[in-house]
Amino acid sequence: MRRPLVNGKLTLPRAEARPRRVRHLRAHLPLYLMVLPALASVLVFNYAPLFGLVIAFQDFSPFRGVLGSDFVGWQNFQDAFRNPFFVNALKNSLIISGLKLAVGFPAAIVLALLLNEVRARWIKVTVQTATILPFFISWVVAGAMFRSLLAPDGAVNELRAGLGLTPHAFLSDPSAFRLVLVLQDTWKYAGYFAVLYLAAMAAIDRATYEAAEIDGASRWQQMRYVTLPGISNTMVTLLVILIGYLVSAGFEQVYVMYNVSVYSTADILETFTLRLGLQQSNYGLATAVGLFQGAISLLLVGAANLIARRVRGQGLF
Amino acid sequence: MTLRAWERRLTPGQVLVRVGLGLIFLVTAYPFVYVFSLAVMPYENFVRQSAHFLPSGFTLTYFGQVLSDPRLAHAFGISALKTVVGTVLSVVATVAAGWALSRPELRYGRLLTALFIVPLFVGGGLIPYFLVIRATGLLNTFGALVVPGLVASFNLLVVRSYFQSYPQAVLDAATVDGASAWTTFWRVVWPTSTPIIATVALLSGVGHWNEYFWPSLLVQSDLSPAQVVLQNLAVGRSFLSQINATGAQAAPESLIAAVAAIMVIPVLIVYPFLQRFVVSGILIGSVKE
Repeated sequence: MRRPLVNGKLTLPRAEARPRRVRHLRAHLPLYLMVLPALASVLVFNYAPLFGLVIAFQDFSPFRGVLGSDFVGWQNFQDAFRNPFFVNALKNSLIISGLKLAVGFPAAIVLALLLNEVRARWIKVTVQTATILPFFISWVVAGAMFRSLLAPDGAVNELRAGLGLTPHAFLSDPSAFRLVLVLQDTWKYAGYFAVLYLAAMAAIDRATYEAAEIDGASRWQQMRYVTLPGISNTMVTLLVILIGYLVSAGFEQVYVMYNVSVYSTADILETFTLRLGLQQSNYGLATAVGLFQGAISLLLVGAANLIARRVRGQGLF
Repeated sequence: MTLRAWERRLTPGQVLVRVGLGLIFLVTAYPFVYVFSLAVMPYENFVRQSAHFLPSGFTLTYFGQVLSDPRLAHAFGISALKTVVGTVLSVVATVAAGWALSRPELRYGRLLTALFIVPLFVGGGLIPYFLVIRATGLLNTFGALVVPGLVASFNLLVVRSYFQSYPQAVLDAATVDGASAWTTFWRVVWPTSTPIIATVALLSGVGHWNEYFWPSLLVQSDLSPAQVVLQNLAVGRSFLSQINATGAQAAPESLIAAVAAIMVIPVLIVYPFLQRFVVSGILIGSVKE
């Protein structure tokens, strides 16, 4: 390293004299600078909104800001619970995500089991490729696809016509709309979750299967008593995470697909919050609903994790 | 029994498995087939025939109309720019931070990592997030399309756990050769970490290309990416009638399908890479948990 000349004299290295903290920082400054952009991003876009949650307890006015608005205690929460549209949205969120869990969770396991059992490699590769693809398609495109499939003159109604049934307007029928959401969600995510299960299956020791075969276990019994227990950790992990999402019914999907005629069964907490906050400028109430949703979500994850630990002796955290 | 013979042997169980997978394949792939069918089928045939599960006739009229419409071309351009710029920024920020956080020399590394984990579980929700973005002055700027999603905590944690097993011998060799921390990162670590960089780039790229809700809220129509325009087309909130006024027969389904198909094509092109890297990415993320 070149030493700088000060007043024509060679300066001595002063590192020894400097405090250790400064020396450390000097030596490793690049590492801290590497974290900086990500840190700034997370502080501004993740933590600042957390402090913005204060709005939930305010009669928030955009002109007076977070610091200038009046505090109203739990008023916004009380207003929310008295609002019939909030109660409807909460109910819909729970029903929609409950149905998604009930259909989508086993569907991914069945898909993974089938892929694991099939002997022809080309079938496995083809089906796996096709089933992961929807995961990478935007909800807007998925929405456009399903809207044309389910249109009065779309493929599904043509199929119904071929079977002698009358056309059905699935997307404006409140009782059919949830089913559409559930099936579309399963279509989009089953292949993705199946990848996780297949990875767990690949990690099962081949010797276990050989031992089962020697004991006379059929393919079916091997699946039941070797494969399924082998993926039970992955199942529990995903279940705990998915239970945490029970109050989040899939905002972008619903937002892209729904319309006024199905608000009664499809309006969820996020869509309700959005209309309340950004269209009616009722920021305080909308933030209170968001905070309520986040708190329930955390409670659910915690509870699911606790149950998983009690039942299996091992949770996610 | 050879492997191929074993693969071909059809027990009743194998037949059942194949039938099941065949049905799943049909149901999963059909929406893609249908959207491309609608986009290339002459609209007259769509209206005239009672059943059209597959295209009858072939025309590129609708693709032509969509691509030659200046507003749609502009929207595709915005999407492409958002995807390229957003992905480059995200990848550099994520990989650099992931590397630094994986280094034991970094003091408070655990605390910093925890800072990135917390947002996976708690968030401010829609309204505070919107208000923060408005306060940053990003509203109605191109920055609103690329800056807010700069670092996804999940990706960062995957990168960090990947780098935790980076061979120390390589780093020692670089240090002996007199490489600074910067040089080590850019000249040694970055070029040897293609799998993880590709994973993050593909996830981030697809995310940017597919993003709809926030762009629809944060920028005016002159900065709207194609997903926003497609959604507006599909729910009839836009200039579809004006496209038709340019002389074409009213063919809303065909035009919407053509836009949707164009949105899918880039994903289909990167998909082979995507599948390989993302499957490995998912596994890096889950195994180290």
